[in-house]
Amino acid sequence: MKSALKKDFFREIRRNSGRFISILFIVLLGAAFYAGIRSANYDMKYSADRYYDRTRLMDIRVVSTLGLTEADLEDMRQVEGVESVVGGYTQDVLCENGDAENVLQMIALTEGVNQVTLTEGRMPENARECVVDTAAITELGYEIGDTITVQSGTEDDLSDSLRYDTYTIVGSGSIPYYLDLTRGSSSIGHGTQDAFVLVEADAFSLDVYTEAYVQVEGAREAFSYSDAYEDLVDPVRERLEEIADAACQRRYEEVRQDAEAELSDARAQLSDAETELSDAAQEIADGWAELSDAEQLLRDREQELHAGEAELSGGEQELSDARAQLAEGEAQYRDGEAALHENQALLDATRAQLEEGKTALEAGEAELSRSAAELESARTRYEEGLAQYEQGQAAYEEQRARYEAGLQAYEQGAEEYAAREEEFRAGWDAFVSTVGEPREVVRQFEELDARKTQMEEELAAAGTDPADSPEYQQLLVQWNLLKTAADTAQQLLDGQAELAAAGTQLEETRAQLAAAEPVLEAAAAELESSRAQLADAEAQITAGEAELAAGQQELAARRAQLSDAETQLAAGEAELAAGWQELTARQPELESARAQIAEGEAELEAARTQIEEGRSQIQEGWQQIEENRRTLTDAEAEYESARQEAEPELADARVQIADGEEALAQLEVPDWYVLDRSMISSVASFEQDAERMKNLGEVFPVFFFLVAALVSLTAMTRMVEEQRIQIGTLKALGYRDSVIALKYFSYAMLATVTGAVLGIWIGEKALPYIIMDAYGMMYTGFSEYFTPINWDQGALALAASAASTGIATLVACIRELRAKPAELMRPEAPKNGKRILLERIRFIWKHLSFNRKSTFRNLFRYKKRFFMTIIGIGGCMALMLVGFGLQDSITAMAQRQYVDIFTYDAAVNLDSNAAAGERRELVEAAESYEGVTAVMELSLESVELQNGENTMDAYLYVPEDTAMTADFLTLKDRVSQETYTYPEEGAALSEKTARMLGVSAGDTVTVDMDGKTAEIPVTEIVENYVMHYMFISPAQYEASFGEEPVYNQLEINYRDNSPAAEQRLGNAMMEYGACTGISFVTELEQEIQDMLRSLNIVIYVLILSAGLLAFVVLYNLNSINITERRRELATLKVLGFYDMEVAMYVYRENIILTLIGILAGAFMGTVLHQFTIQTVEVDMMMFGRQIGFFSYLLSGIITVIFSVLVNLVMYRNLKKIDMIESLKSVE
Amino acid sequence: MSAYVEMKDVTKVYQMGEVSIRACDGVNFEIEKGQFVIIVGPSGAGKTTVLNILGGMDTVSSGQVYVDDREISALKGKGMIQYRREDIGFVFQFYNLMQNLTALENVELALQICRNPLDAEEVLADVGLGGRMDNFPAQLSGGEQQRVAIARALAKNPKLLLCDEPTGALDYVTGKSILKLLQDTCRSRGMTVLVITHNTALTPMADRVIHIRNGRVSRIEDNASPLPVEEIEW
Repeated sequence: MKSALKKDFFREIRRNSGRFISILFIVLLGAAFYAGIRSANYDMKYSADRYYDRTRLMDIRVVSTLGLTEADLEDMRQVEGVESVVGGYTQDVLCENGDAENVLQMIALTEGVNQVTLTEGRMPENARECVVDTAAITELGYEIGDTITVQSGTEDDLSDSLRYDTYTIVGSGSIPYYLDLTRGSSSIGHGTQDAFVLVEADAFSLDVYTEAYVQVEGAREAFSYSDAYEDLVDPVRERLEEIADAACQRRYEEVRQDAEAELSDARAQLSDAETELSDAAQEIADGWAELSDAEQLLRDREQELHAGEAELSGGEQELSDARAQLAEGEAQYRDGEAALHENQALLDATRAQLEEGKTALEAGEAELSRSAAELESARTRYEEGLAQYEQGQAAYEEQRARYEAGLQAYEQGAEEYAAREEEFRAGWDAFVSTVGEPREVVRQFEELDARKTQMEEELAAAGTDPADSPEYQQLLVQWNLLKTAADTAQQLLDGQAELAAAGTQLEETRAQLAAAEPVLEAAAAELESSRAQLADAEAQITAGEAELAAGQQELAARRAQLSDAETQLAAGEAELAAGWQELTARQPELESARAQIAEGEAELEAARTQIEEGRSQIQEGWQQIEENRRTLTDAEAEYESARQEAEPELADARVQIADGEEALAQLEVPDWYVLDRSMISSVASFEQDAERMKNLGEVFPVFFFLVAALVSLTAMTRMVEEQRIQIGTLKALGYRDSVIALKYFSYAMLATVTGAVLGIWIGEKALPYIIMDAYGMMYTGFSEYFTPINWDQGALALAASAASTGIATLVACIRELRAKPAELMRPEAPKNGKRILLERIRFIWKHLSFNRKSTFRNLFRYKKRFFMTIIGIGGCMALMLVGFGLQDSITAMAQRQYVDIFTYDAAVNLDSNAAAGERRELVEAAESYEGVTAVMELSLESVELQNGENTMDAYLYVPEDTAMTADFLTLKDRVSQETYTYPEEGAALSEKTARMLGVSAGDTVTVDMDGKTAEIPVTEIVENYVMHYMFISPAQYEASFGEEPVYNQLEINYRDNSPAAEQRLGNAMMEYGACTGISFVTELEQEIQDMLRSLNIVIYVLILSAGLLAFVVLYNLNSINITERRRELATLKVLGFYDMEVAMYVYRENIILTLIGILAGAFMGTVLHQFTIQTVEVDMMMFGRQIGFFSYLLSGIITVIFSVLVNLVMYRNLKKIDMIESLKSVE
Repeated sequence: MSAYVEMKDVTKVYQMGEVSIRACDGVNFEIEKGQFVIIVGPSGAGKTTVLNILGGMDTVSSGQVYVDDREISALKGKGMIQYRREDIGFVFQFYNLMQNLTALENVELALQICRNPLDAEEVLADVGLGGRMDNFPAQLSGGEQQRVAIARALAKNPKLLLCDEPTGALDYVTGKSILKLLQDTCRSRGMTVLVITHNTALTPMADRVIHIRNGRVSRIEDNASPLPVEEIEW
């Protein structure tokens, strides 16, 4: 390079230091992250190797089931490749620690291998001092200076293995065997070791080593996690395994012979003691038999005596009975006599009465006949009276009839009279009313007659003929007239008289009748009274007759009575006579009875005397027996105490012998376990963690690096494009293209290489350190972190950085240089303003403000910048999203596996060799344990699954009862979350297993179980995150393998999940021989969480780096943007735009770009996350696949925050833009 | 009553490291309202500095500048921006149009920030671009672009139209037409127009010509009867 150009080059850097620094910084960041993350794997392993070497971690550990003898160790030393062999002791013990019971692993300190790194305190100076696990101090609360008291957790005495039971803590530390916080499992206590305790080998009382630590020649120089190391150690391990058989056989014989000799001694001793005891027992038993014979004899005698006594009392009884009988007989006799006398008297009285009755009867008869006569006469009188009365009655009836006839005639006459009177009255009345009073008429007529007579007389006197006289004529007419009337009247008057006469006659008749009536009445009354008299008389007669009949009847009865009494009396007299006779006959009987009684009394007296004698004899016999018994009891007590003393000893001896026999019977040829470092849990898990880091480094840093490279190469391209006029000028001046290109290339290289080298150095120093520090939380023993520069990773980063920017710069230069200088010197034709698609939608376009319009046009005008920015922002967003997403996935894993899928609380391992009864007992104990809600037996077997070329190790899960699985396990699809019932036929396969095998539902998988194979169809693929499982039913198992599964696990659900309750449950289960271990889901979950917690910290590093990258990228893109538009912005300023308005002109675009970038980043991140997850996760685990909404939000917000920050920084730059620029020509 | 625009003893010193450059060394002149003024001088004489100061883009080191009785040399920060926004129309040598805005939109861009704007379309029609309003700058010739720039300046209805070598990037004929447009605008609208050029041939068309040399006004001449542009040849 020419010197002028050289000056220009350096001035360029100085003048545009911002650009230079930003390119440098982006490259630095990319290289640092890439190299740093990718170095972590090696650095972790390297640091671990250094640690192992420093503490001289053994390469191989040999454990024998019967311990290792010095001879065994010597054999090992002879093995080719073995550098040293050190014997060691370990023993698990229990230690009370407050309320808890800790399981401590006592480990003997060893020289030259597995050395302790003291955290504090000092090493033990004698066998009573110990150094404890650092974890014991931090987790369990032991303190230096404390004394711990340990006890055996088994039936064996502590003294069998340890010399002392108390130790003083003098320090704490770590051993390379336990790098992390996980300790081993234990067969005592709650099943897990809580901490180790290091003591001097002298503290152990074991006569053989429990294990041996082997160091392999040259292994220390080899890299612990490398193939070279394995190549070195593996052959030695194999050679050790080869000598194992012979050594084991030797040890077996040794132990067996010892045991047998011991056993036979013990047997002889036991039998001697037993014989002695049994002799003594026999003697005593004999004594007892004799005694009981004597007793029996005495008891027989007693029995006899009792019989005599009973007899005697029977005689006495008899006698007193006889006496009583006699007395009774005498009384009876006297009673009979008295009764006879009494009967005699009674008989006499009866006779007198009888006589009296007879007399009375006769008197009654006489009276009765008198009353009969009287009655006869009364009847006669009555007959007469009755006849009289009947006569009177007839007379009266006659009179009465007459009277009745008269009355009737009278009443007829009265009726007639009344009718006549009425007729007459009517004629009268009619006459009176027509003519007048008859008497008057008659009188008038008489007068007229008189006149006529006079006239006739006058006429006759006058002598005139009457006929010729008118007066007379007239008078004659009148007279005639009156004469008729007078006749009628006369008739009437006659009728009146006649009527009166008839009335009088009637009256007379009535009077006569009235007079006759009282006479009749009197006659009737008389008749009535006589009839009553007659009736009375008749009644009296009837009564008398009845009385008479009764009297006759009574008399007849009395007569019959009398005759009966006479008969009785005769009978009584006869009886009395018989009684007397009988009484006299009983007299001699009584006499003889009296004599018999007297005889019996004498006999009884003699017997009583005899009995009394017998009793005193027996009394003597009993006393003797009592004496003998006492002697014998004493002897027995003596024997008993002797026996009791001997018995436990004997029992012990017997048990010991039995135990010994059993042990001997069970004594198997021991096995050697030759274990290399990969069998150490912490060594292996550290490797896994390192591998995880390696996996993480596969994708994430690459993407990170790509984003950084993309941004840096864009920056370089832009720079070349910006300087086209200068390029043109140089070209016009005649500089060769290569020289011109060299300027830009050198610029790019200087920035890139400096950045990359710095980045590699910083990244490889800082990032692995941070990561190891994070893991250091878990691997507490591991304290020194080594971060060598790994040039393989660094070189790659450097080369890639240099290549990307370098090539981009060259390409840009070549493109520019291809043009003619004249073209170059002219400003590049400004990019045409173009109508954008949005404008075609007039509706929206019209409603956009003017500023928005220009924003949108700007966005779409510079498509390259648009996409660059989107990729830059989106990339950072994606990186952060992957970081957060990884965290989500990891968190989800433990949560889903141990909360959603495995819903049981604890799993108990059953000893599959234990007797069925023992196992039953354990199952029942678990079922009845307080708080336990459900228990399920299942079989869990390791199998190999095959599908074509692919094979996978998995667990075959067979529940005893598929119906119960719902309480312990949830089978479901991860995506649809649809739950499946436990498959009765076919198998449910865990998701990752299925994917790694390349099978889907419906395919068939070959299951290899210890050589037995079966084809099982997969019916469902189920969500699962930790380990590989195939779930089948017992029926399917039988169908596939032709035998019943061996149930070797119990899953338990219970209510109280507190650690204390779980420890209690664990202790309770471990009591049973069939239980070989117990694990709690809470612990498993915690373990997984712990394991991944460190990864979380790593993820924070990722997120932070991504954020940093986001900032740099945004800054860079923004500054390019502003540089390019300097003139435009200056013009706006000249036009009078306020600073804020100018800023908004730029910001609006940035805001939109940021938002689009976030969207793009969300998409890219989701894809990248899926990809990363699959590379990061180890085979046995599946991480969660989802990114939580919150992670999207957070990544977006962080991107926005960075964007805002960058824009704020940019505001300063915007303000600094000089308006004068606008006046300059386009450069 | 003082002049419409007045510069009094204006000096401007640029400090470039240890060297101080006197771009203006006591400039004095006055411009009346409605005058067409040309400031002429060789390159580096300080005419651009005068323009920058008048345009509110630069501050004076000493002296006073009055525009319409307002001392703009005393303005600072926001006041300066406001002055540019309200009172000044600026025409650049290289047009400085927003490439992604159409002719009309470029005019509207200026309008949206000032208080009493003219109608954009009318102004564009006045400058003879009635038919090309929707074209982007790249679709327009240099002269047309400069017309858009003039329209943009005019539409703000400024007190002072400042033109920095408006024909500098244009060919003769186009340049002439632009100058005519400026002269016509001055005449028809009574706009005070200040044109900076190094081309002394243009001076006859101005009402007043201010000659600047070495940071000072060397001569001010008033044309009683300025020539129309058509009659000037160069």
